[in-house]
Amino acid sequence: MIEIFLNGSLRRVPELTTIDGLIESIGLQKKGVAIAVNSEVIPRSNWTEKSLLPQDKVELLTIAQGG
Amino acid sequence: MEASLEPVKLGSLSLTSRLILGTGGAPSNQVIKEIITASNSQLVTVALRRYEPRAANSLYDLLRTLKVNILPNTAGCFTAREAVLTAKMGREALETNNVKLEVLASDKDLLPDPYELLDATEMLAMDGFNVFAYTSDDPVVARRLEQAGAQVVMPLGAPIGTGLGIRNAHNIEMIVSQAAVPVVLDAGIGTASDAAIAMELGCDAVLVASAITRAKQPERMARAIALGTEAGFLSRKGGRIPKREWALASSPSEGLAEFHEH
Repeated sequence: MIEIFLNGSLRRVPELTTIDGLIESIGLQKKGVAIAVNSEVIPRSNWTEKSLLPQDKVELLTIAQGG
Repeated sequence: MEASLEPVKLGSLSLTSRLILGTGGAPSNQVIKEIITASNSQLVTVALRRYEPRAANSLYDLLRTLKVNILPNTAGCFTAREAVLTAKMGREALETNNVKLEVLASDKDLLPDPYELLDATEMLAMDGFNVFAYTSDDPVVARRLEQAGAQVVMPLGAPIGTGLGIRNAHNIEMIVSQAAVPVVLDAGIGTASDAAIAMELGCDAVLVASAITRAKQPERMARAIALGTEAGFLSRKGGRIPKREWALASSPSEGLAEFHEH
């Protein structure tokens, strides 16, 4: 297991967890969400390849009310 | 085609409704559904926020069910860097190049920071975004945004959430008269007549959030503002009569009966 920060909170995930794997492990649908790792936006097309590293800071965003 | 249905092209979208609906401030998803239906709006704005297990992205599902176009914003950003990153997140989340670009100066006034806004507009336009730039009502800034690649210029009528209407109508007219891109009046609308005035001044569309979502009866207000928007558009197209100093009778002066006094 490695430790990452998901939306500011510590989370333990298996080594070599991909972005795709992370979203699945949360039980979230992949439509309507976006991911940045260490302030770099990860395009959807890379979600199956990009693996998380220890201490990565992950921002997982969805849509919310806004004007 | 009926004049009221003349479509407007905003970014990649062609819309027959000229009312863009902001979802911010709505008491529930049910109300969002009601105001979209009541207004017939075809484009709604949303923000991007950290995933909350409780919310479970139900707003996304609702908007997709309603088949309405979604315009992600960069609300909450105070620097060009934050806004560019947020815009990119919006592009990934919603698979659209359209973005409502907000780069604000401070929490208190929520006024756009023109310098950061221009920087962000330039960067995003170069990166293939269709930038809908939320700006002050300064005609010079509006012109600069267009030169920087904004596809839609969105001047405020008054600060966000104030409902103060259009504080400087002449500036809005100047922005419209010089713009080669669509102009959308954003922020400040408080009621239906404000939307009508924006359209009469020549705006191509209006964006309304709080005036509807925070109204006592949001569904009714959504319908009222949609009608006001359409009325303003039609009256602009219809062409108002020139203003005159003295009265001009509308009934003919010929053929008047003569009544003699006895």
